[in-house]
Amino acid sequence: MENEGMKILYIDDEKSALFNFEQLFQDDFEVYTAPSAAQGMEILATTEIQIVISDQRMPKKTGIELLSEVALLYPDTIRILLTAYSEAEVIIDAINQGQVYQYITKPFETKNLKNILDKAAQNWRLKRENQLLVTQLQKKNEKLIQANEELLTSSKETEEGKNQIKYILQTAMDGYWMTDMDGKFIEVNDAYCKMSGYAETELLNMHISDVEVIENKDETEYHIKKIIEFGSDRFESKHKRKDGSVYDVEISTVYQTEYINAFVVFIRDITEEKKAEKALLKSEEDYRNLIEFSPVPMAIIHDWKTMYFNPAAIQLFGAITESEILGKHINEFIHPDYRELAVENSKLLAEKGFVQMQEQKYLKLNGSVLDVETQAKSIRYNDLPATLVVINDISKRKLAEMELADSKERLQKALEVSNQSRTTLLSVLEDQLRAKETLRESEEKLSTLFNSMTEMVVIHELVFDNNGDAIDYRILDCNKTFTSITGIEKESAVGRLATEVYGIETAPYLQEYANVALNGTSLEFNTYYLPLDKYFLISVVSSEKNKFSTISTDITSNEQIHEIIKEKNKELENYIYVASHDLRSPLVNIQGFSKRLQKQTAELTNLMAEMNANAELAAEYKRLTTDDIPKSLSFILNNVSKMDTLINGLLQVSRTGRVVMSSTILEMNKLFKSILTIFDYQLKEMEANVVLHELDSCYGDTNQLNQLFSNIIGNALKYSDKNRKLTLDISSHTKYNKVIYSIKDNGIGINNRHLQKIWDVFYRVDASAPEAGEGLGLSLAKRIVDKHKGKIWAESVEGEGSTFFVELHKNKFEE
Amino acid sequence: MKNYKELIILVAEDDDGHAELIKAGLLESGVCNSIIRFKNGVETWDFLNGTAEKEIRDPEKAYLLLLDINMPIMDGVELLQKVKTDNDLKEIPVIMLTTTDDPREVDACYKYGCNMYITKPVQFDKFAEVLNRMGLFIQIVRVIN
Repeated sequence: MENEGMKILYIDDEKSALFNFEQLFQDDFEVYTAPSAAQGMEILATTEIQIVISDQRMPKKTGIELLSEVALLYPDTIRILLTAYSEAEVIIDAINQGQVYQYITKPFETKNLKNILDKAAQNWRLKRENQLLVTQLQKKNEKLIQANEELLTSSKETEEGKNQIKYILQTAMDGYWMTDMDGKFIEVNDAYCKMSGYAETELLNMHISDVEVIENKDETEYHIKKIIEFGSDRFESKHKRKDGSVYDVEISTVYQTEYINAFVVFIRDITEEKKAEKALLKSEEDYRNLIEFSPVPMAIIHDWKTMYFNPAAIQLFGAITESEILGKHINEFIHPDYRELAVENSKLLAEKGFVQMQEQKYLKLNGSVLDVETQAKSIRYNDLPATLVVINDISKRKLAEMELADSKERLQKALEVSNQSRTTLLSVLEDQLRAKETLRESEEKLSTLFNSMTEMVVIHELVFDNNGDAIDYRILDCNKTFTSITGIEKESAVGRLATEVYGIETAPYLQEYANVALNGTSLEFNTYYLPLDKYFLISVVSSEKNKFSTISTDITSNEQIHEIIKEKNKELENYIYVASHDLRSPLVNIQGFSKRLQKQTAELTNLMAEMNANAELAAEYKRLTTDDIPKSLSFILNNVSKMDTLINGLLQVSRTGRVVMSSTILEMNKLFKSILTIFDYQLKEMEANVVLHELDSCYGDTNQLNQLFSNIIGNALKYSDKNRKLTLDISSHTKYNKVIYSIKDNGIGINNRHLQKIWDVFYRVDASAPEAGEGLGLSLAKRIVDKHKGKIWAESVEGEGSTFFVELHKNKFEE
Repeated sequence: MKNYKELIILVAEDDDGHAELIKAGLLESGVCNSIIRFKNGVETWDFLNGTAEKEIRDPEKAYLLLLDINMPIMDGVELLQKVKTDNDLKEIPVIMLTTTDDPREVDACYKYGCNMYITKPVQFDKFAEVLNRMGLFIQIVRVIN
């Protein structure tokens, strides 16, 4: 295929055109297409394209612009512009500038385009072939020119060579001779003339021995023979100038046979060098002396062998003469541990020329160890590369150091011990921390407990006056119960004085508390605190001087119960007392009169025996039987019945105490009306005036309250004043949750000294009075009131009347 | 025996039986003195004070008072106090004869100036014995004017 390998890139913004083009030419060419200038450039960058066809009209870049760029970057490409417009001038310019090979108008004819492309391809190939040919030709030409030039230069060289050498020799800084085999000068240069003070002409008639100072003629001759033998030599000697002065020279000579048999000799004036060398030697000697007499041990080593020891060093190593230790391998003097270091040091010396101060261990001749500090420096010694080692014996220092280390160790140990104790301390601290934590926890628990306690807990601190007397105390802390009992908020209590907080002149129980806080003795006491109307069991403890805590338990209800029990006990005691007392009297009678009856019967029996004696006796008999004995018997009977009454009364009282109540809210007017109905007959007979006010209801057992008020009203009737008509006034008033009923009469009244006793069982103001009962009514009333958790009391003015008060609960209460 | 006045025994006792027993007991132990019985403190006081309607104290005569404590209207202790604080009456010997053996009561009586305190025993034998001894005591009491 003609166009094989030809790559065509077609750039057009019309995608269909790209597709068509590809379809048309893909058989003949390798076709690349790009829809934009940029993508076209990308293809060009990666692929070697021979022909680039571009549409003129594209959105971002015109075809000419694109092809101009292509021309710049890829000058070998054939660039064809495809345009639908006749932009003749622009196109012509482009062609003229060589940017575009040809332009084709759109729409193109396939055949035409094919031809154009074929031509373009051909053109490209030709151009390429041409280029290759030109390059080859150029290369051949270059080679020819080069060969020519080489020829030219080589011919010149051979001609100029000799002249050049001569010139060089003449102008050389060093002196130059050529002598014949005998040592006669054949050639000399200006430098040697100057050096020797002879003129060239003079020298050319002279012999080596004329200038040579050290060697005599024979020696020179011998030397010449040697040089002939070896071909060359280099040595130092002394020459004599024309003026007779001697100077040092360095001579290098070559025996050469190329042109004629002769010695070529270069002479260099080394007088200055020699001087310098001498000075150096002198200073070397000075240094040597310095080293020699220095108290600092020094050694010089060459190639791992000892070369020199100064006396101090000889002494150091335990030798008597230098010869004992000279020429030995340095390892004989270096402790095995430090031999590696020596190798390293040698490297350092080679590299830097010195080794800084370092500590190591040396060995003495006898094998004992030396602690040393060394410094090393590369020197030349006897013209050999050597190392000067300056040694500092630090055995003593080491000893001191060891002692120091020892004490250090001791210190370390001490430190360890202290560390241990620190560890112990730490663990103690940890323990303490833990304990603290535990404490904190327990404190938390305590605080929770503190606040959830039903006891009132208050922490105080005593406050003293100038005389050191406790005058008050300050509240430091309190729990919630404190607030709930006292009604004082914690915020308004803590930090303040008790007198302020409670608003009183003297802090409560100050003396008792102060005693606890000052002496630390705990105290527990029961007390009634009037301002709060409460009973407290107060425990006082002191945790530290001047401080104390009070734990107060509200035992008011307890105390009330206690109070009640006490009262009950008293009452019971009273009952028993009264019972035993009152039962005793009739018993005395029963017993007494029974005995009397016995006696009287005995008397009667005696009288009976003396019967029929006389009329007097008969009368006596009559008296006994009709008078005394019946009398005695009637007493016994009376007392038996009395006793019966008393025992019945006691039973009644105890029954009242045991009876089960069935309480409800009671309509009291109704209750009183039913009571008054029972007394109706008596009241009417007495023409009594009863005023029953509107009464408040209360809570209680209807039967018991009926009995209670019946007894009171019954008494009012019983002890009415006969001189005036009875007036009864029944009323009530409510106070908080209590109702107080009052029954007021205008009866005989009760003397004050009896007023307290009227509640006692069996008590009667006047038992002999015809109206007197068994003395049970009011004591029963009291028991009933007690069962209702109420109160009963009486006010009376003798001769004017009495008022009985009964206080009962308005609402349901705990029985 | 002109120097001696007749001694009249006053019994202040609300219990009739007790009063009867006391009288009988004293009689049996040989006390022949006349006995006047009172049912309570007021009656007794009225007699002693001279305010009674019927019989009143004769200042020419000597008296001994047997006093019960538990009495209506005016009890024995109250009467004792009255007697012992009255200039005319305080010389009258007072013997408390009562069922009450409460030590406080006893102490109170001695404090108010009673001369003797006797408890009425329930056992009649003992009671009789007490009365007997008391009777003997009364027999040797001589009230000097």
